[in-house]
Amino acid sequence: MDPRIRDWAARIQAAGQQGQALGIQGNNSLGLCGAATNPCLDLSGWQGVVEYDPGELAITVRSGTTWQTLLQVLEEQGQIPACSALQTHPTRTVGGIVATGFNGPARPWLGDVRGAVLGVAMLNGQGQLLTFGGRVMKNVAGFDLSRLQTGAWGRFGPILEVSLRTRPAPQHGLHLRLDAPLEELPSLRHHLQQAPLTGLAWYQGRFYLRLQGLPAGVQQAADLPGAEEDAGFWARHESLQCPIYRQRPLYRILLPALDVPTYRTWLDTANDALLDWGGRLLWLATDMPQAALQQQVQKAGGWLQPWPVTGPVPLPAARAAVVHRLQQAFDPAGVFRNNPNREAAHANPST
Amino acid sequence: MNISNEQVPLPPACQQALQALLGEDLLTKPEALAPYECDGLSVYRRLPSAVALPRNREQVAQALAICHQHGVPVIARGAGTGLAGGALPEAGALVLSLARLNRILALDPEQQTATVEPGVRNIQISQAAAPHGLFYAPDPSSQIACTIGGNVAENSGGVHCVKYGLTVHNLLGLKVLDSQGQLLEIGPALLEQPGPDLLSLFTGSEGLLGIVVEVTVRLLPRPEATGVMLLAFDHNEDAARTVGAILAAGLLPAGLEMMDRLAIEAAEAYSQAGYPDCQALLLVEVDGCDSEVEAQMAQIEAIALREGMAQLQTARDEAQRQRLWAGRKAAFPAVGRLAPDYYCMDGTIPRKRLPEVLARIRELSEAYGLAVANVFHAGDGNLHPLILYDANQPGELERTEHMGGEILRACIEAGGTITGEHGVGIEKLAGMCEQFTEAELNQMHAVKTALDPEGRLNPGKAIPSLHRCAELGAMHVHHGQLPFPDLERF
Repeated sequence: MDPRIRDWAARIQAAGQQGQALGIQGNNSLGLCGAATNPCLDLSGWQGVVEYDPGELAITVRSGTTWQTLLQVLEEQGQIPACSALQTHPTRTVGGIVATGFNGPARPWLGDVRGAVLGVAMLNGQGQLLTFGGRVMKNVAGFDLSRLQTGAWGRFGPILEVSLRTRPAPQHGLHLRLDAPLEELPSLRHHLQQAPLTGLAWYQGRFYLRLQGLPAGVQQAADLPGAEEDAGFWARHESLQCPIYRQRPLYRILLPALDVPTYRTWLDTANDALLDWGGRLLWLATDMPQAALQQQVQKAGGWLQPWPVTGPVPLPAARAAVVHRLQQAFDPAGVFRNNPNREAAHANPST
Repeated sequence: MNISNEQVPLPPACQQALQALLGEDLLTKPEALAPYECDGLSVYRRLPSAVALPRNREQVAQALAICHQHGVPVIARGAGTGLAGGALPEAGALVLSLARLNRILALDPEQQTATVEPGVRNIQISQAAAPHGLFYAPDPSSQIACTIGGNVAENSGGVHCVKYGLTVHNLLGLKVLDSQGQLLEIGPALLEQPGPDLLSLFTGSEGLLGIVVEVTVRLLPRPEATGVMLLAFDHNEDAARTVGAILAAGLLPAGLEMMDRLAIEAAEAYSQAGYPDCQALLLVEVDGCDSEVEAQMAQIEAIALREGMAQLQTARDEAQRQRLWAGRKAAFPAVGRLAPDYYCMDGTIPRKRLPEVLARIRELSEAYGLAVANVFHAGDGNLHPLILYDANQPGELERTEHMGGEILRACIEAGGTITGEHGVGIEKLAGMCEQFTEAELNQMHAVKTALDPEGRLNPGKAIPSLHRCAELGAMHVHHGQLPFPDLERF
């Protein structure tokens, strides 16, 4: 038994007995544990690759390993994670990526974080060490309590290890820019239906495309009138370095359908906007009152996350009730009830 | 074997209320109930007390509310093609068939989504999507019959999981009723849902956590071109090594299947697919644009030659592809002709352990005197050993199940799992006791209780009680070999 796990388990059990709450912290890259009034379990040093065999298309790492490290380890073997994660900060940990569940620019094409999760080892609110899922791609033994941790923000307990699906890195890539109005998005999408896309965004009057795959397929798809090569945008976008990400207030908006007219009404009054995921995710910098925007987004069937993140968004009542009951199932004493630490979030509104 | 033809009636008040709700769509006569006494695991049969065949979501909700009020367990059922006994009735329970909720509610080619009722058959989705150049990727071998609701309940796979994933990877939204008939919506269909991943929790939960009444799936553009290769080998090991070499070379085939000699011979005799005389074969499907398909096929041929391939057949047009797939798709019924009965296993292992697990299966086959045909999804390490037996021979089923248990143990010891895509049902409860610790099973029970406090939904399936594990004497004996072996247990 690693003494650190023993220590965390003992602290969880003691907290439960004393009615105390515990936070969970990795590298605190979201700045939510900075001024914690509650004590935190610090998983930032819990790092390293536990098992990686490229032929299995799976990797297992400790949760404090940074996503960057994971990418490097995979890159050395010509692989990538079988998902696109939102890399808000270079020190973001794998545990944090899974616990928050935010997906990155290639989500529609490479898959989501939850889908890449094959298994987790975790501690529950009683300090019990549990493993769910495994390291194989297909596994339907018991309830899927491993993927359930995606987006749970640690409310069911700290994730200690994660097994993730990997896939071969694309052999060839091409980044293109195309000057065109947003209204051309539906026809562009149609045109690109067979293309090996891993990115399609619209920002400040231009479409940006990323084509990745076998050289033959990429070359065939790249034959797009008026398109020019431009790799700079994708480097900035992947690391959230485009100017829009510095704007405030900023919202990350998911919508169920590509709805150009609705986007257009928001864009016309916005300070800046970036449409990602081929039209299903909108980053909107706007002075429109949050409540009004929220209402419009809800009406369109979507959800809105104020950025930078201060915690999970409220869920619809029925779903919130289910999550609450699940929390009690994992953590009857409510040790992790305050995750993420809201007091801390209010103390650091600018991070 | 567990055969009981004794019908236990529903409480009269419950039956009356269901009758008032459903009229003739409530079956209570033994002859009408008989088709529902088992699912695809037909060695286990039990007559339900009644079968409800609701026609819409409101009726499903009301039926659930009535059963809840009267304390009657509810067993959801799709097409009944499940292979693990997940839809096996129990005395005193209502079987809730969702087969008549079979409408495609919406198909949006622009958003590439389909929203369907649970009784829609898997293949109907791809058929409806085909005019738009789209398809629904998960394709379990029962796809002409199995329903999407059942696919969600089992997290079904198919032959294209390597590239396109399981059911869980192709879902965007669900509507689920709880045991009291209350609606939970996980949606609308977004590419990211806020909160803990409830889509995954309900997917593969085998009807224990809720009743799926609406499913929104992602559709994919049908690839411009597809190629199928049949790689024949004189040694099982060469074929197994080729699987690893293809994936290690950075290729991601759409399908990667393996068959051993007994399965090949049976398939050839049954379907005359023109399979060569060999010890093992791989079927590899690649897709993409024309030039991508050409490039991948050339690369795979070179790899296979290096690993000792003896013969190659390739197919680029639809008729040729269908011919090569015909043998594989007919493998189960073909093997079914070799013996009166067969028992289909579903363990999954890390691919690199394939040769040693195959060797272990051979050993067991000799020790038990029961032949085994191997047909499996090699690309994702999902084995389907088919144990041939004769249920009419006294004790042979028990011997077969015992041998199956040993195969699953070998899968767990190799770092794998007892079930890759068929589910636990009643069939693999003992294996659950071996794969999970007491604390892990307790956590699953706590989740079950959180969502179904009275334990009305499909009781006794999927997650064994600790009492049952103790009875089986099979509680978790392979500590060092579990997933995450570096983490010791308390």
